[in-house]
Amino acid sequence: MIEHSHEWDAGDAGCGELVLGVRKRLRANPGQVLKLVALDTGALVDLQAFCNMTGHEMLAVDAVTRTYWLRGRQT
Amino acid sequence: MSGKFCINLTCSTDNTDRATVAFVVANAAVASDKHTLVFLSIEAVRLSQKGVAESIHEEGFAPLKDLMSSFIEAGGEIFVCSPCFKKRKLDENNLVEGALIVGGAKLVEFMSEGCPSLSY
Repeated sequence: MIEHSHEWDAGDAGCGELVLGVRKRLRANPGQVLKLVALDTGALVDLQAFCNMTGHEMLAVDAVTRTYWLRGRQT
Repeated sequence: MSGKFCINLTCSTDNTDRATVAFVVANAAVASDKHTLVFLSIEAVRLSQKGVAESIHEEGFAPLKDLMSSFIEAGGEIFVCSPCFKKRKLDENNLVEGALIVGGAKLVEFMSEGCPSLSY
């Protein structure tokens, strides 16, 4: 289990809705870990691409529960 | 010059001509050593399902199934628009080989450093 400071159950949200929601939460908590549940099929590759482009960090993935731990970049 | 090439396809059985020509051009791009992506969006997401391309054989062209197989075998990539896929209630366990369901961020990453694109 990875320590996290905040979490978001994004449900079925995907594509732009998902990454915009993640961005908002990571930027509000720089350097902190967000635990995210995202059920969308495309979420994994999308979140990896999002992190590659933005400097946020994907720490871990639980593919079974579709749970992600993301650390927001320091501003 | 960018080594990437993106083809945005929005049609499947609703416009077999566009669907076919998109993959003909995609094969030309991948044969030219371009890192080639076909982005299936709108109605084209139906082509991500096994069995759909088999029904499309436009006169004067190879069957679409063969065009798609050749594209993947040559190293081409197929991204499938996640919300378009979800809207149509398609089956993620029935994807054709090489198809990857993605959201917009993955497409943006592919194109973000400059990428010629065509839309059909």
